[in-house]
Amino acid sequence: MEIIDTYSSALASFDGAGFSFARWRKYIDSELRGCFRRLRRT
Amino acid sequence: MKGALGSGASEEDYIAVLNNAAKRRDLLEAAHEAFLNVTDGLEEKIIERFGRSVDAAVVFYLGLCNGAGWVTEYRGRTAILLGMEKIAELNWCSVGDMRGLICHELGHVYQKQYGVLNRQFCSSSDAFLWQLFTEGVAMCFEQEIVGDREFYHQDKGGWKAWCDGHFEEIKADLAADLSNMTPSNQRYFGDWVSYHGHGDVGYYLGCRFVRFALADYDFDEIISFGIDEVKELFQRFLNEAPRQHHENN
Repeated sequence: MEIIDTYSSALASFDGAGFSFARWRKYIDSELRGCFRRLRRT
Repeated sequence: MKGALGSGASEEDYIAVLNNAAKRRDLLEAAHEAFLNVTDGLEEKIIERFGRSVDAAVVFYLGLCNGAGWVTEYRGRTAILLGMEKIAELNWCSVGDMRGLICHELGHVYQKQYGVLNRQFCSSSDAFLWQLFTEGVAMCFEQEIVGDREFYHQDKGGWKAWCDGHFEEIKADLAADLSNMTPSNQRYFGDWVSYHGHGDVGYYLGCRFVRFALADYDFDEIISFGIDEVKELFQRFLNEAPRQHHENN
C-alpha cells in the first residue's frame, strides 16, 4: 500500500482569489495525469 | 465524471466546488492532519485483521468534486482518491471520519483484489442489489478495521439511531423500489439523496445485509459471490426475524 499526499501541491494551485482551471489543471497534470484522463472519460 | 456533478459538468462547476473548499482552509488543514494520522500504521492494522494487505495507492487529492472517496486506476494500479474538497464540505475531517472513509474505500479494493467487485448486469434491479451488497462489504471491512461493528462513518445527528429504528421499513422499501430504481430516482446511495430525510441509508442496509450473510459465510467467501448467490441471500434477509441481527453481533 502506498500513501500519496498531494496537499502541498494542491494548495499551490490557489492563487489568492481562488482557483483558476489552468492552475488546477497544472496540479492535476503534475500529480495525477493518468487519473485525470480517466475521470474525464467516465 | 459521474455523481453529484453529473456527466455534463463544466469547468465552472468544478471551479465553484474548489473555491468553496478554498474558503474553508481550516477544514482542509484538519482533513489533512486526519489523513496523516489515519494512514500511519494502517497497513499493519489491515494485515492484523485480514491476514493480508491491500495493493493500492491512497491519494489525498484535490478536485474529485463528486465524492469523498473514489476507487479508480492510477498509473496502472488501483488508487483510492480522497477528495479533500468534498471531505471538507461534508465536515468529515476528524480522525474517526477519515479512518472510516479510507477503510471503506479499502474495503472496495479488498473485494476487487481478492474477490469480484465489478460485474455487468442487464437489469437495473440487479445492479442496485449488487451496489447494496458491495457497499455492505465495504462497510463491514471498515467496521472490522475500526474495531467496532456498530461504527458507521455516516452517523451524524442521530443517523444510525434513526436507521436502527426504521430497519424493517428501509429493508421493505428498498426491496419494493428495486424494480423501478434508476440512478436519478434512487433514494438510498449518496448524501445528496433523501430517504425520509436521511441520506446514505443504502450503506446502512447494505452493512446489515452483509452482517446477515456473515452469520453463515466467511468474509473471504462472501466477496466472491455472484449475483445469484446475492439474490438468494437477499431473499433470506428479507424474511429474517427482526431480532436476528443482534444475535449475530
